[in-house]
Amino acid sequence: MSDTETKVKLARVARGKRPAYLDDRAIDNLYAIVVTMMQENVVLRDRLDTLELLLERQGVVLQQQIETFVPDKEAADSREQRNRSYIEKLFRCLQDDRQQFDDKVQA
Amino acid sequence: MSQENATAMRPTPTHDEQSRQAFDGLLRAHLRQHVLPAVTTLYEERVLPKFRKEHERDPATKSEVAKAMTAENYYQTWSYMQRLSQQLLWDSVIDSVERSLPELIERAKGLTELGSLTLDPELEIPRYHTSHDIHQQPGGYHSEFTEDDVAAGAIFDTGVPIYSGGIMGAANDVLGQTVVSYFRDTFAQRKPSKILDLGCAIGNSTVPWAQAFPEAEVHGLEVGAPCLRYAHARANAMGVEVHFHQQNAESMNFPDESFDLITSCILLHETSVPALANILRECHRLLKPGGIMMHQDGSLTSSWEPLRAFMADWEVSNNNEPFLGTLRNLDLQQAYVAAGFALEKINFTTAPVGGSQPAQRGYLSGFGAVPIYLAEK
Repeated sequence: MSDTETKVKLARVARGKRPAYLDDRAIDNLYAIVVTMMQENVVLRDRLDTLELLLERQGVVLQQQIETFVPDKEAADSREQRNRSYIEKLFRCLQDDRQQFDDKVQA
Repeated sequence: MSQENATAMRPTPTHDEQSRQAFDGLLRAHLRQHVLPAVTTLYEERVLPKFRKEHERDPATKSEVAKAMTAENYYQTWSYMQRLSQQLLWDSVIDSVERSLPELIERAKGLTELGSLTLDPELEIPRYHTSHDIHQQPGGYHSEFTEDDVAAGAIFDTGVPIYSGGIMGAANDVLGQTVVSYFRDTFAQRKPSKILDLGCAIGNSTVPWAQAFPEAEVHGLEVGAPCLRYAHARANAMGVEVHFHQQNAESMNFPDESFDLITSCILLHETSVPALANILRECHRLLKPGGIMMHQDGSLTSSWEPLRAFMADWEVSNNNEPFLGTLRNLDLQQAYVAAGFALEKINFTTAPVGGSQPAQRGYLSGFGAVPIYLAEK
C-alpha cells in the first residue's frame, strides 16, 4: 500500500448546530472561501520571503532548507507586519461599515 | 528543566503549516483589536436608540439584546469571522497533527515511566461530548482514528496557544497555575496528600498540582482516551508523576473519602444540569472530612447588564458551548448545597490570573481574575 492509503485521516468538520449569520448561507460560505484564500496567499508570500532570504544568503536553495527555515527576529517581525497590513487592507470594508455608526473610528 | 518540556509532544510544523497557524493568530488579533471594539459602539449608537424608540424602554434581558444585535450586519460579520477563525485554527493545526501522527504515537509510547494511565475502552462517552464537538474541535476530546491515538490531545495542545493569543503561557498552564497559587495563598497551612483534577484533558492543569505538592499523590480524570495518552506522555516529558484515569466524573470508582482536594479548570460548563449534580455529589462522596472542592469556571452573569451578559454568551451557540449559557444563570450555590455541602462552608470568589505574577496581556487581558467556586466538606 502507498503512504496515502495507510495515512490516518482525522475529522475536519465539527459536529454540532451551525447558526446562520449573514442573510444567505451562501454569503457565509463565500466568506469562508475568501478568508481561506487569504490564508493561502499569506502562506505563498511567506514562502517567497523565505526563498528570497535564503537565495540572498547562499545562492542555490534546497526544498528541505525552506521547510526547516526559521526566520530571525528581524525577518519574523517584518513578515508579521506585512501580514497584519494585508489583513487590514482586505478588511478595510469593515472599517468603512463601522464609520456609519462610529464617528470616533479612524478610516 | 521540566517547563520547557511541556511542548515535547506537540508536532513540529512545516514551513507552510507554521504560516497558516501564524495567519490565524493574526486574523484573531485583527478581529479582537479592530472589529470587536465597534460591536459595543454599534449597540450604543444604533441598536439601543432604535430599541428605545420602538419599546420606550431599555432591553431588559440578554435575549432581547440578542434579537436586536443578530439582525445587524456588522455584528453578523464579526460573529461569523470569529467563528471562521476558530475553524481555520483547528484545520491548520490538524494539518500538522495528521502528518506527524505516527511519530507522535511512537513518542508517546516512550514516555510512560512515571505515574500511570488507566484506560477503560468500555466507558460510555457522555452525550454532552458526542452531540457536539466542544469548541468546534473536529472529533472533540474523545474520538479515536487509529490505535493508540493521541491526535485529540495534540490538536488541543497546539491549538490553545493560537486560540488564547498566548495568554495561557508556553506550557498552556496559566489556569492551572492560577488555581494552585490561589490554593497556596488561601490555605497556606494545608499540604494535601491526595489530589484529584477532574476533566483534565491533556493534564495542563493537573501537572501544576504535582509540581506544587511533590509529596502528594496526584490523579487526573477525563473521558477522552486520546487526550489521556497525550497527558501521560506530556507529564512524563516534564518529569512529573501523575496518575491518569479514563472515567466519567459523574460516577467514579474511587472509595469514599479518598481525597484531600478535588479540583477542576473550565470543566463544569462543558457538562449538563443532571451531570453537574452528579459530579458535585461524587466530589462530596470522595472528599475526606474537611477536604476542599475547588472548581474554576466562567462567571455567573444573571446580575450583569444585558449587553455584557449577551457578549459573554457568544461561545454558547457560536463555538459549541451549549451548557455555558445555562450555567451562567444557574443557582450554583444551591447545587452545592443539594450535593451535601453546608451553606456556610461555600465560598464563591475569584483568583488573580497567574497568581502572584502580574496578569499577562492577550485574550484574557480584560479578566484580571477568574471565578473560583469553592466548598469545604
